[in-house]
Amino acid sequence: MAVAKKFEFSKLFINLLFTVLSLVVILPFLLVIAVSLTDEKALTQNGYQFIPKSFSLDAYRYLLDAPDILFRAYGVTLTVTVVGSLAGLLLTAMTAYVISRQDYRYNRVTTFYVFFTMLFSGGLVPSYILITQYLHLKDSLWALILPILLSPFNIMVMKGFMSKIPHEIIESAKIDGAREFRIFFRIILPLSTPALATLGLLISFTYWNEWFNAMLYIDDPNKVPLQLLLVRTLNSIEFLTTNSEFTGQLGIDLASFPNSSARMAIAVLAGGPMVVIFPFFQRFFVKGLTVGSLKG
Amino acid sequence: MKKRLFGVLAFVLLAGSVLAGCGGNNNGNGNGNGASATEGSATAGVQSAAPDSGDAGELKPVELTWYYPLSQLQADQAKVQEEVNKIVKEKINATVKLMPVAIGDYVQKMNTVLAAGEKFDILWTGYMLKPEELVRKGAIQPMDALLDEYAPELKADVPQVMWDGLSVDGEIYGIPNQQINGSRYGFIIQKRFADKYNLDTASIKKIADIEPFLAQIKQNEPDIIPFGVFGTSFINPQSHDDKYWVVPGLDDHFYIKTDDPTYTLYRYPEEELDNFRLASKWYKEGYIYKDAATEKMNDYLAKGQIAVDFNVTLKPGVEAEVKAKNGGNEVITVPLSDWFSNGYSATTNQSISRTAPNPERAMMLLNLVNTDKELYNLLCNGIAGVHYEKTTGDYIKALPDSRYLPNMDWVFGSVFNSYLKEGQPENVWEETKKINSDSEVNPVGAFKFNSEPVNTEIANLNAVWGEYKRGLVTGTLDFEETWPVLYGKLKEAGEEKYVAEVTKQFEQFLKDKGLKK
Repeated sequence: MAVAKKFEFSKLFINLLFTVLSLVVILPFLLVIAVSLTDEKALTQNGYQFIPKSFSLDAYRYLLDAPDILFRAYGVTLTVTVVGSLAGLLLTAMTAYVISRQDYRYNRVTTFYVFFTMLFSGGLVPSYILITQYLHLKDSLWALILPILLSPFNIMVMKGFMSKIPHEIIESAKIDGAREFRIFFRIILPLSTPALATLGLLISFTYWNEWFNAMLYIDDPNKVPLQLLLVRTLNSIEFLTTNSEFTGQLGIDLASFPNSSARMAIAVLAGGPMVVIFPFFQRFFVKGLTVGSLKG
Repeated sequence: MKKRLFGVLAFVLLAGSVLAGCGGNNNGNGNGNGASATEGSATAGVQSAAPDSGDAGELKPVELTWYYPLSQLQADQAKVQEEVNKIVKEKINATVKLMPVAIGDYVQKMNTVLAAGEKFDILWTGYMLKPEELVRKGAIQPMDALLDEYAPELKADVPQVMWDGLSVDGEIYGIPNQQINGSRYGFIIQKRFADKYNLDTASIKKIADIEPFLAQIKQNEPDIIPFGVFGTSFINPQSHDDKYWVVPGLDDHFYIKTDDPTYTLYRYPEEELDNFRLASKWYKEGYIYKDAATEKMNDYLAKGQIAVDFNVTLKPGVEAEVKAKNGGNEVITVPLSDWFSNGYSATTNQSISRTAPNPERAMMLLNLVNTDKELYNLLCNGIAGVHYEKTTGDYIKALPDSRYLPNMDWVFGSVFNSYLKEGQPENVWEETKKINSDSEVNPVGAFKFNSEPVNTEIANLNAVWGEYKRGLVTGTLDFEETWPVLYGKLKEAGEEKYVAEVTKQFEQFLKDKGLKK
């Protein structure tokens, strides 16, 4: 009995610990949502509060007043994420598969070649020159997709996973008359679902959150992704408040900026879908990891 | 053995291909620049064939690209660009591609664009992207000849002091977007308190004179912060008063005495230190907010909780500007100095890129923007009837929910051409022009310090000041206790070497300018 009681206690402790942890994670989200629903005047008077003193939808009204920009940005981000993730995942898997094959003669050299780019890169200016002056991708969605299409790190992770697939499987497939493409698509890919799910999620997050390339390469307001809209607003406010000397001299009116509640509303609209989609993905992703597909 | 040999070989090949790749890149780049240069001179040839024709018919149609920062990108940018191009096409047979960049991204983006040698014509330079630095990088081109040929009116319109501020090694590298260029410090006081306590503004001649008023506020208005100093802006009235001029471009702790023919440098004069003493005293009395060193001023200003604020640019129309920021409370200003100027520090300008395919046409466009009121206001305020409406005279009012309201007139050109906004006095631009031409000019305002020999010392000194400045300015740190410690640290950081270098260069400057034999 005493043992059982002690057991209960440890359970309580664990539950408490995780309750606190979850709260730490969830509360800031809730605060963002709460602030986005608070009346701006109440915000200046009382600061950020979980339960709005006076409820208002003004922030959303302000944003949805010109919804075309927001919806276009959604469209751009979605397109880039979907196309980029699918293409990126396929290419990552293909590259990783090739360098994971023991019977590929140059596999160490190729691995080193991939690994090398993980340590050294051309840097910002050469990349910019390549994209704008050689590939002529300025103001093209490809400029958002191509630069992060293949990440050497992901290739290495994938390679690590694929090299655990027994070589005998490939050999037996060969004996059964399968060619390389068939082996790859019919045998290797299905066997790699856990790794594909994990990396797919990582890649799609990278695409969803990407804004830096957009800042450099996109000038056309119709092709601006969602995150850049958000980052721009925040950067500009940050810049103007830290350079008060400058703004004071020139008379930039900070009041013309989206106020705090509108900023939070942008955050909700930008991050919201991912928060909703993530649990769905996550189920798939955990399942993929636990099923364990090396049954043969 | 064979395998290893192969590995080495492969690596060599790989390295070779990487190097070749780099080389190829450079070549391509070189070619690109070469091509642009020839292109440029070709158009130059066309231009010089018909140098003084203002006739659009003889100009070849070109597209000009113009980068500038905006605090917020505008929804109707495309519509405005279309209207702008109607005017520009008619006047100089060119079209403009407007490339606004969010102000927070501007420096990074432009540095990348410039480093990549991208071809474009005009860029905004100024406070955060200094023309002088761009000249050192070879990113922008001198425009003396272009100014003389294509924009003589503009050249005459801008005061010489501004051209001086934009000159590097004797050549002009930018066109200033004219606006107020001068300082006059003083207090901004909320009218409701000034009225309530019958403040006699005429009796306030120096900073310390405001003290009794602060005491009254402290005593009777528990929710109000009597004096709004939060350590981000510095009370530095000595930048010019009846005794001293600050030497600009340094760390603001070097002074010369007004009307001193020997131009002796003073470092940390007692009068400057007295301001810190005053801050300490006011902090102890509770006139300065107790958490001032760590809080943000805007949070309190917006709620109208600051009774008295110190400001260094009490320009015409400042009352309306402040009112908008401090929760709609009326304010009055009490200037403590006359207008003075340390020269033009290249705050906001347009420059022409070194890679510009059509520098002549770029200059024509800049001339047009600065002389054509219609074009300028189109850029600043959008289209009449769509984005704003005219009220009376030159006054305009932005329409509600306007989709084009950059609110940054100074980014495009001379603000003297802009329509008036509500609250601005009718003669605001005449007044401002008068200030620009009449303000007392710092006799050593043209001094430019070359910081290279003492870069390390400057970084160290800044680090030491960074640690103490907010504490001292807000009075949170007691001055008498802190100063000996701080001064000791400054000495360790290289104070003496820095002072010696400044003195040396300053003496040289005086000799070169003939101020001192």
